Amino acid sequence: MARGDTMVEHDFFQIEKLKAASFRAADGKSAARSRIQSVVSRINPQLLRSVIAPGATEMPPEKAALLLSSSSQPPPHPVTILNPSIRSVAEISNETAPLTIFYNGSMAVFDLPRDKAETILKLVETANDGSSSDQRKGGIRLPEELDGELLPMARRKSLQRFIAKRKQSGRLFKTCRLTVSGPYAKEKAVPKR
Amino acid sequence: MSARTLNRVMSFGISDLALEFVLGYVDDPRDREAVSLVCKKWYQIDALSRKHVTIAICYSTSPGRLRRRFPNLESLQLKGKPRAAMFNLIPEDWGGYVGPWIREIAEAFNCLKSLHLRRMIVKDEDIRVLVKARGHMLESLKLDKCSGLSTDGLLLVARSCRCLRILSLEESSISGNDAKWIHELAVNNSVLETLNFYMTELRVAPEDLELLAKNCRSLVSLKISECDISYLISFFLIATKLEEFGGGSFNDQVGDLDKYMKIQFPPKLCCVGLIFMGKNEMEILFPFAAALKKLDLQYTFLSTEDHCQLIQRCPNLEVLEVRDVIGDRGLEVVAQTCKKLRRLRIERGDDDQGLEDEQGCVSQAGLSSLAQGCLELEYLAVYVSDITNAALECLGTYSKNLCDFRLVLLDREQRITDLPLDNGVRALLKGCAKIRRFALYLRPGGLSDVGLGYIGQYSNNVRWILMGNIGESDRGLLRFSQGCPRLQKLELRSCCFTERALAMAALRLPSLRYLWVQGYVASPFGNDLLLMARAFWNIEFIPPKHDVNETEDRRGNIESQAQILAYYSLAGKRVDCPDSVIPLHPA
Repeated sequence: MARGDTMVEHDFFQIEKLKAASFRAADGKSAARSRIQSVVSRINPQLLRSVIAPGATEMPPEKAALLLSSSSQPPPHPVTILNPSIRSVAEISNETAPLTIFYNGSMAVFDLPRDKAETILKLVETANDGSSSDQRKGGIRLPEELDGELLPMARRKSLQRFIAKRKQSGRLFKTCRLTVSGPYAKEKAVPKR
Repeated sequence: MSARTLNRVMSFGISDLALEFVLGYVDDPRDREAVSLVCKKWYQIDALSRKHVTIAICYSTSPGRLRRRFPNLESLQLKGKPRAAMFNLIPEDWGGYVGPWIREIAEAFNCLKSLHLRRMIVKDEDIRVLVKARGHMLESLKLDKCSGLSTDGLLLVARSCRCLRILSLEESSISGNDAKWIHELAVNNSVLETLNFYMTELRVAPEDLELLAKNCRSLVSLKISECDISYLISFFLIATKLEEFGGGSFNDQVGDLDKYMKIQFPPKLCCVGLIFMGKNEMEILFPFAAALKKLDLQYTFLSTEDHCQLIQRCPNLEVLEVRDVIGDRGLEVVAQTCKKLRRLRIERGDDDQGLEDEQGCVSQAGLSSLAQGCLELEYLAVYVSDITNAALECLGTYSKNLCDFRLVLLDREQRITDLPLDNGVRALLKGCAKIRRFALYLRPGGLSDVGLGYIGQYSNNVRWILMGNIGESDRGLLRFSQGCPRLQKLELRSCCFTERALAMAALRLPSLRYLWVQGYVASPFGNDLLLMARAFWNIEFIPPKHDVNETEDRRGNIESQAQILAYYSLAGKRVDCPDSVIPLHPA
């Protein structure tokens, strides 16, 4: 996904026609659409919501207001419905770029930071890998793992305390050497046994 | 009928008396277990004569059961919290209360002389009950990584346990600023051989240590909390039998450094670990470095070069503990110099490389040199920054005495030279047939499902396994669980396995009696876990939480993932779970 004002369409469902098809009325008979639907339907909606949600809340206030007013009828799917024409005036914050999702005849745009967007793409790729991957994994990986941030490696308590104390004392590797004066090093008394 | 009568007196032609004499020489718990399974008579004789029992998780049985079977125990070791508690992953109030055990000990265990509690909650009141009943005969008390007590409890021990030869409080959380207990110990005891309060925050008064050294002429091991060792000059002069010293510290780097040079160490000192020791202070070890058998440098300020300088003077080293600042260069020196090395631990230094020596990384080069140079190695625990299959193969070829192997791959380097480690792990396990404890903590891609299958296939003797970020899918775990015939304790972290696979694996592993998991793929309502429900199998669940205080990881607050703990128990469901622990089975 590109940042800034250039909108790059990432054809991660590998179906060119879908963009145009999505704007038309829902047509459940198209093979492409049913494939997309089957893929996306395997995604736990709660999961998708939880991954997307922080990005959605980053939307500028006026867009959020429109979002609220336009969803007078409850959306058939958890993906939010927006007025497409609003998109062109979307404010893009420094670190976020719009991610557009077409699903079941509706379109949604989210301003997401890069990593969240990549998370969603990975999520879809995993689900999209085909039926073989379904047999391997009984469920979908939790967001923490997909983010590339696995469970952080825990540190032993005793060493944690030592490292914290060392930082406090300010006696770091490089400074330690500097505090020792030359003459001492030559004239030390040898300890006796 | 008459044959049966005869059998009551003679068991297989051996009289009871003879049997008791013979069994008195049988100490190994595995042999004792075998003995107890022969017949009722042998079971009874074993039960009445068993001297020591280790209970790996205190909730697997009850104090009453222990007393009914082994009433004449002289030594007991109890473990409470899961091992992960040492890494701040277990809530403090998880459990492991020693209270019920102490009450039983006070009432019924009339022969108990030695008590070792590990990762348990021990309160002052528990100590009071213990010393009131058993203080007069207690010879060894070890509170190892325990919490809950204060210096008041220590005072009770010091005053009441005059026969104490070993008192160890290593890494326990003990509140109170009082150093009186050491004074009381010095005044009341004359047979103390080992005193250990290493890695605690207890205050220590040098004069009390001197008094201790004067009164306890058998003192051979002293490990203390932080106390500038220039205050211990007199102590070292008095404690002439001392062989082991740990702790102390070097607080004054810029001031009068000569004061450290005035220390005269006891003549037999051969086990040393000094906190905050830097390059200049380490020279106080040089005069007797050649006699050193054990060296702990984990809490020092030495660079890679410093490690090289020091270790090259220690040809008799048998036990070495360092951080990975030792680097491959330091390991070269170890390989060339320390031919008698049996145990090596290389811990994880600071992740911020600006704070450690740039050369302070251990990789396949250092490991290969080590394997070829130190053929006596029995224990190796190492955090590496890079690794190859060849290095593991090298260990498999040379380290034939290895019983305990633990490898953690740090996440410092983006790219690791040679992954997956399937072939290396196979070669290591095949070559080192004596391995009983095995830990492998990698990253995704580090070990494939095939490699995981190899671990199962070639772990004939392994009793404990810890694995992190290994395997690719459930298939790997299921293959693994087809092997490991003797695996008793399994810990898994940050893996991709589903609850279903975990449950199937737990049911399949024939010797498994303890399972701990953090980081797995949960089923929608958590009910796949109950696939492993069976009699005498306790299943506990710790839901995920946000904890601000517990971890100081530089990534900040961590939402810790859910944990599963399952273990065999004759005592039924725990009744002392805190809110953070949910017993799932028995319900």
